[in-house]
Amino acid sequence: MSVVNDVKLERTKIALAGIPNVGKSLIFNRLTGGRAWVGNWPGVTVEKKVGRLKIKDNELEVIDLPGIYSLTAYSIDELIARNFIVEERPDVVVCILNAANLERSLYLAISLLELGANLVLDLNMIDIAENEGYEIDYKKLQSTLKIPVVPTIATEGYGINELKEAILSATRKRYINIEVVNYGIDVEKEIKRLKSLLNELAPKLCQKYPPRWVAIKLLEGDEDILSKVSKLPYGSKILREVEKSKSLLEEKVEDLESYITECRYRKALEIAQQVLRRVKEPEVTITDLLDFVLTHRVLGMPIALSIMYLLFRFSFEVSTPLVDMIDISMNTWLHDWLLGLSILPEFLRSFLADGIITGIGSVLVFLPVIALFFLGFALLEDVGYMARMAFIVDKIFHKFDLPGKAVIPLIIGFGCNVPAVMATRTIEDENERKVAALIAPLSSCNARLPVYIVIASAVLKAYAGAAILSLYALGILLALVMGWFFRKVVFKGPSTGFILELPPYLLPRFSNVLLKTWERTKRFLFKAGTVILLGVIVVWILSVSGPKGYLGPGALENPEILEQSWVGVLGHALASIFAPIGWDWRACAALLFGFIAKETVVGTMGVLYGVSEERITEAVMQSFTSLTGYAYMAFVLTYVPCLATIAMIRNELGLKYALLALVYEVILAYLIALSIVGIGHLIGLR
Amino acid sequence: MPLAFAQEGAIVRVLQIRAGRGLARRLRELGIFENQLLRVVKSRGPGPTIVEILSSNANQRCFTYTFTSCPYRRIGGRVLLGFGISMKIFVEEVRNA
Repeated sequence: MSVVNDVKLERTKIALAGIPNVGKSLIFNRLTGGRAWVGNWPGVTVEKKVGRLKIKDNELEVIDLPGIYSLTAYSIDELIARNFIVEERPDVVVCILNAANLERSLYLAISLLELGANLVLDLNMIDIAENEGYEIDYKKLQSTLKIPVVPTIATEGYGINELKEAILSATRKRYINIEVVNYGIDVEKEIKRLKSLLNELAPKLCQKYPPRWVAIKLLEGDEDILSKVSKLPYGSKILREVEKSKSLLEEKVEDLESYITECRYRKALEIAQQVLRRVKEPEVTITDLLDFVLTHRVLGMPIALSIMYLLFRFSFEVSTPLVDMIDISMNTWLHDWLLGLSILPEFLRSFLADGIITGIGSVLVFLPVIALFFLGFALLEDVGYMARMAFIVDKIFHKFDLPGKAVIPLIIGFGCNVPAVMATRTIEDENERKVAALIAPLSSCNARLPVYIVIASAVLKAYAGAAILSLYALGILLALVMGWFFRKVVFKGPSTGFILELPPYLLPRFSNVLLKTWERTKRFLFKAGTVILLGVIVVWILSVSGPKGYLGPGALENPEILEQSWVGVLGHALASIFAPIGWDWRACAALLFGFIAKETVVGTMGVLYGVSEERITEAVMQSFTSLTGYAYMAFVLTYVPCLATIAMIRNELGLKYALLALVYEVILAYLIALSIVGIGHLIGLR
Repeated sequence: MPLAFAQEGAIVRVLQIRAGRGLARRLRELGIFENQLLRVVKSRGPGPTIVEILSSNANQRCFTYTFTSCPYRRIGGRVLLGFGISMKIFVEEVRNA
């Protein structure tokens, strides 16, 4: 099989480029039928995605790139896209234009043309442009730019077949228009001079990139191209000539760099003016009306809090019957049936029933809550509300020296911390990005929820809901304070501020919402099936064996035997560290296993207390007071979210920062738990 | 005056961008450069600003969210600018709120 693949290795590559929020991922899905993460806020496509497009007998490789505004890179996201287009030179670049935001899309298209890309334009969202009262003469656009233009409505699948045809024909005939922008006599003269100089002194570079593009980028002071040229044999000579051109031109145009950008933008404006036609007066758009209320000075914040509260209520209330169903079938029927299977040896029965079923069952009962949370979250995201949250909270975040954009990873973190760390890639400033990634794990993810639910409902009774809500608030507060601390002590530097494009409000696309819900829920299930299963097995083994050898499954029913096990030994060792807080050794042992993933805390408790989900409540009531229970939840909130998150921080920032995250979170968690108990005792709580 | 101090609903003209090379270029690529008209959709001094970039084609008319007509057409979506950035963009008011 690998031989066949090797022959086909050089597959024709099609790259999808476009400004953020243009519907790139949706077009990708339409073309490939594949599953890309589709989102309605900037930066959701954080990695390049690859799929296959079959047209007639041809199989093409389609690459979905993160949204970019131009070929000058600022954030890692933009760097990924730029490097791919500039260095890997895909055979065809499909530039997706937002018909309702034509000028800005055209700027990117023009930049791609200057690079010599073989370009096909996809004029997407023509329905929205029509709602705003515009018609776009795409044939005129086609003849002006001399490249194919296909109008589409990706949400409805309109024009996709035509787009496929256009891509296929572009693989055979190249559509190139390098001299799309005229920079005026003076600049053009210098571009020409540098071009022939490059052709002569750097023939290899000119084979890879169009010499005109290199000349323009040199005049613009593009760092990447400057460093490439400086490494060439005649590099310093070329750069001297560039400096000569620059000083000559700066006498005529004030700032050459901005002059070049402006020329390009003027060209985009000019083309847009030519092809746009007003057909009717626009109505007041829904976006106008919604933004008036949702980002209102006074109303914005309370509305945001209410929406978040509703999201949590929705996921808890609607899931109740499903939770009961899973609980009964797993923890009662399946558990008892396995224990009663007399064909199996005793230790295997115990392993399956008390180890695997109890562990997995106590995690699975939270599946409906988590799936519904993701469903509601995906709806809000798809409508376009989440980007507004960044606006609403920016004023608060600014006080902590954090960019408002940092709220995006924190909100994603409510779902799962792993994608939250990845989402920090859209933050341009390197220091701000590192801080955002380090504090992202403090956002209380769904995996912690099972722990809160079990403990809060056992020891806080009627106040359980309020207590859980307060933990979410505590998580955000800690994230802000730690963010401020890191900004002041470790990652100093001025705040560069942030720029975020707000997408228009759109009706949620049902399939899109379901897809995102499934993608996220799948991760939880996968985690339940792998890391957690493994964790639970380890717990069981460590519970039925000890320094004195195999103790037998009786350990799980008899607390006195259990204390002799490895878990007992470890738990007791930890309990002495946590003595000032007052948790019993089982709770401490559960924390130890929580390093793997927070879901295992409940699973471990189930095993350690030798009871099912239902009866965990009673066991917890006996070993925690309201105060120590709350401190326990705060500790679970703060200390390392899971191994997967730490691994992700290592991937993104390196081992040093992963260790920093690990250490600071454990210390912070201990201090928080200790102060909760300390202050509680002072004011007379128990 | 800095964009951050502009009134909500006002239409302003960009006079100067006092920012470093990288930031200035980024703003230009979004369509924010000298002489460009912007509508201040939201302003939270000291806080972020939301602007809409306008084209000055007087033949086309649009309605702002305050339901009054203005002789400018908006270009595309909205851009959210952090407070720091809003302080670096200097504007003059063309039409008040």
